[in-house]
Amino acid sequence: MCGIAGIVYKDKKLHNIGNDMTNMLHQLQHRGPDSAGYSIYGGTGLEEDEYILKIQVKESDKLLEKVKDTINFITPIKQDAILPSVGDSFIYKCKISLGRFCELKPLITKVDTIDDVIVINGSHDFEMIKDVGSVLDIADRYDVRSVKGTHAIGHTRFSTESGVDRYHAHPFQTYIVRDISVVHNGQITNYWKVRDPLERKGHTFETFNDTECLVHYIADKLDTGYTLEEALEQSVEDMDGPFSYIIGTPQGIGIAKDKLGLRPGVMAETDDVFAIASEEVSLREVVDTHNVEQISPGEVMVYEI
Amino acid sequence: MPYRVERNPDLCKKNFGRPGCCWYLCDDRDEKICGKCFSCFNNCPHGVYEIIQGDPYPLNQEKCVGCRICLEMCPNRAIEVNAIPEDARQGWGFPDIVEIVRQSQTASYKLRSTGALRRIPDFDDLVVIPAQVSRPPIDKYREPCGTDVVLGDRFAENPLKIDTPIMIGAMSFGALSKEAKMALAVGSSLAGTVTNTGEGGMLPEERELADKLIAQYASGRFGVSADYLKKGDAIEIKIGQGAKSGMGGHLLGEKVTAEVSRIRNIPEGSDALSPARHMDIVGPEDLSMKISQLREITDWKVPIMVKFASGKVASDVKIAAKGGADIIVVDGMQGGTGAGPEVIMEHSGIPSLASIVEADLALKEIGLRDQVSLVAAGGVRSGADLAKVIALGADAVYIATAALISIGCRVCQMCYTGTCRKGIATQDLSLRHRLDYKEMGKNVANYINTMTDEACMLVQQAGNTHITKLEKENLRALTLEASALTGVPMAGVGRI
Amino acid sequence: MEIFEIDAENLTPREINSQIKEAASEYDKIIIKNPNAKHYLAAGVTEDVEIEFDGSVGYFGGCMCDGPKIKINGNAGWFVGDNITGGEVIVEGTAGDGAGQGIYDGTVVVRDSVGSRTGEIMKNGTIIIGGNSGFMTGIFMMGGRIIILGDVGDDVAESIIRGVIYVRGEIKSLGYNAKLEELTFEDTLDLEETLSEYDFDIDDYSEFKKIVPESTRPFYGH
Repeated sequence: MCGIAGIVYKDKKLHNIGNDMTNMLHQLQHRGPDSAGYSIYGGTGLEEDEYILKIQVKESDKLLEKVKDTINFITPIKQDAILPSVGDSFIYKCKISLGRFCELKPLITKVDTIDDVIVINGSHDFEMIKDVGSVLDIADRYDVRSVKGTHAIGHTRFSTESGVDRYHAHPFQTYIVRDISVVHNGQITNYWKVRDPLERKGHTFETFNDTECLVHYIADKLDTGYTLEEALEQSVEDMDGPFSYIIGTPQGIGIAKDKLGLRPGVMAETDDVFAIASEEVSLREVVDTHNVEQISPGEVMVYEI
Repeated sequence: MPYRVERNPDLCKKNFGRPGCCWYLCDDRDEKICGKCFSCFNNCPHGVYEIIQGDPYPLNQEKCVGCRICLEMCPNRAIEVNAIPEDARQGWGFPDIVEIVRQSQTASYKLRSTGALRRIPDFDDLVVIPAQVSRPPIDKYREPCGTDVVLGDRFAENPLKIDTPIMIGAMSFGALSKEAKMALAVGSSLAGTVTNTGEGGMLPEERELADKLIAQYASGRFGVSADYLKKGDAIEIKIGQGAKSGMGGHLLGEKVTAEVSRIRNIPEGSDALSPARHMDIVGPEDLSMKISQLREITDWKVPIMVKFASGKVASDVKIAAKGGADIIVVDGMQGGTGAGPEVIMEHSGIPSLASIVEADLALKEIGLRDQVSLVAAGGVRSGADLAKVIALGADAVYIATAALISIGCRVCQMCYTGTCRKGIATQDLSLRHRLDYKEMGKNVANYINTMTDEACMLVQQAGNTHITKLEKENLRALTLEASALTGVPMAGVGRI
Repeated sequence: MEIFEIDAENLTPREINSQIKEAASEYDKIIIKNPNAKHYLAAGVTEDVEIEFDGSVGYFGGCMCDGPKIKINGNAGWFVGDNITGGEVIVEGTAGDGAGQGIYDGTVVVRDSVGSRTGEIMKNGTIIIGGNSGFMTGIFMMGGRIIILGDVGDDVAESIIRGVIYVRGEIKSLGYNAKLEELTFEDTLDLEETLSEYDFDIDDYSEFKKIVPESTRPFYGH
């Protein structure tokens, strides 16, 4: 359970969205002290065939070499950097090229087979930053405030039943459709009933975290021809339990709320910005209007640019 | 159920020449004019006795639960109640059959009071090991054993400071009589500890007689106002209780007397609904905000407590601690209630000794054990239980059923009928007159003080000088179950 | 009139409330600027004082107050006026879910629309919603009145056992144990008196629909 936020700049230009989202999430810190995360879209500046990988590597002799070798065997590393973090691991960030998107998942799976190494994300159109700790700590650690983009979603986490670690923080992404990520406030109570058919279709689940099934579900719908809005509407019918969640795609963001309206969600819009969040106090960081709309139970809202 | 009840007809008529006189009800007994009162028949809460041709007979033996109130109330000591062994049909014993028959005839589930009564691993399966020469025992007569405890000093300006780790648990006015609440208040003050309003609002008499009083904040919010919260020395957010978690309740209008309704702030004779959960606590962030809200209302002065039924203890405790709770209470399945479905009491929840270990470990895992106080509840009966619970990881305990027994309860499990023969769980004035709150207040204090002494003896001979210093390493388990549930090693060299 | 002003811009809710409560006994009116939708503002104030928020409040705004007249010139989050036992809380903008939750007395007014579960578990008092009210309005209601000038969502008065809900707009569906009753002349007089006190101007009071409990004991079948 947690706090969620999303923001879209309507003019499709690059804005200081890392800074905006950090401020929004900081106002939702009380909803989730364990970890925080961002998906920032539009500012990666990558070529069509380029991808960024972020890999959690345990501080261990030669482990990083092994990771680099594994990647280089498939495709040459074009650029890389080491981002220090908390605990006994660091984040290895690298840029690579792939012929087609469907090659990304097999590469990630290969890297995941190395012990003490987990691929946190692999993306083209967005940058994912997530870690354990407070919003401000994470923002400093990864210099999020200087990241630019056109739209973003973010999350503060209060863990309920699964573990508190970097990998279980939100956002979650899927590799069936490119660059889809999700942040979620709530508990999907029919998790296994949703997960099982998707697994049989070929989706790979890495955790037992219920949020993960949301992104796979939506990706599956998008892959079979639904629009984002239709996919979200269908999810309101199919998912059980309290939830308010936001999906990020390269085109925009969308929010869905459960039919009993058990988790909050508010929206505010101006000529420049479309913003959604768990609470108004978060919206006030980026939007200066008193026109705040409640998202109703079972309602779905999408903004695409 | 497996009890044999016998009335000796000669002893019965010994003093009055006729079957047992209900001397309890008479202020002014006059043998010439009064009829036959049948003390056993009148006082049996289960209808075991019937009057046949002017004599009481314990006809319905299958209804007896062994409370022995009839025995206690008989002025001629003519009653005998003996437990008889269960029959040899393990899963299809007599009590199982009686219940199936009752359900078939009445189409209703069994409602009763108290908590889990069947045999489960409990404190008796653990022992404290005495110090000898590897470490010295402390002399009871010459060296002191400290018993004072401070709870909830994480954020509150005025944490709860009590002279003994035994606190009196939450039992509402409405479920209990005013006299019972007053007795418990008096007892808590005499013993230097604290009592709890329960979810029925705060009786002015209770606030006056209790030096320290915890104000409970439950899902129905009865009697709650800023004034109510500010009058408490701590606030307890009740998420659940060991006997029945997540059930909600419906107090029937008949039980809402003028006084009960005034304290709960609802119209007289009206039904009172308690939702199954706080309508505004759906997830952990909501609990965190609720704690902050109550803290703002009470100006950060008093500790905010969260009470859980023992279910997913580790998850719940971590959430409450991260959410800002000063004190967390875990109520095991032995925890009691005035009314609840038996199936929930007996089959939902985990034993207290397991839940306290899980809670203690959960707090340590998130590095908050020294900031958050932990209270155990459910089935604590003696100084031995107290010492063991502290050793397992609690900072303090609640007693409730035990406190009621010390003021007269005999665990007949019929609290919900409102005809408590001891004047405890009733609003009937004629029954309430049987409870002298001052005398019973002394009883409670005697009991708490003696329990504290007993615990001290165990603590001292284990080599410690303060109750809170007793460790899990000072315990050994006598059964495999208790060892597996708590992680306490088996006595001797046994290992599992 | 003695007025005290607080600039809440850089203050925590604790600091804001501390200042409010200190000023409450000395001043007649307290104005808080830049509340910025912070939570728990004016929690548990029991003095008879006027409090005005120049902006939005977050969750639990004006909760458990007993006496103050509180005005919020922006929006409110969830549970505004939670458990008040007297006085009034008026929101000029919108409010979230659970507006007027569990109130025992006093009046909660929201001039625009509100979210779901308005007035849940309330025991007495009055709630007036100028706009629409959402899903399960009045769930577990145990007394008092809710007056909605706009439309009301699904399952209104779900499991109600006492109290009455007046709706001027559309009723999407009734909840368990709720039924419609004829509006009486006394009802219209009552509504007029209450609504005009809060500057609501209604042409035709007979447009109101009245919802009451079917049975006072819906779970026991008596």
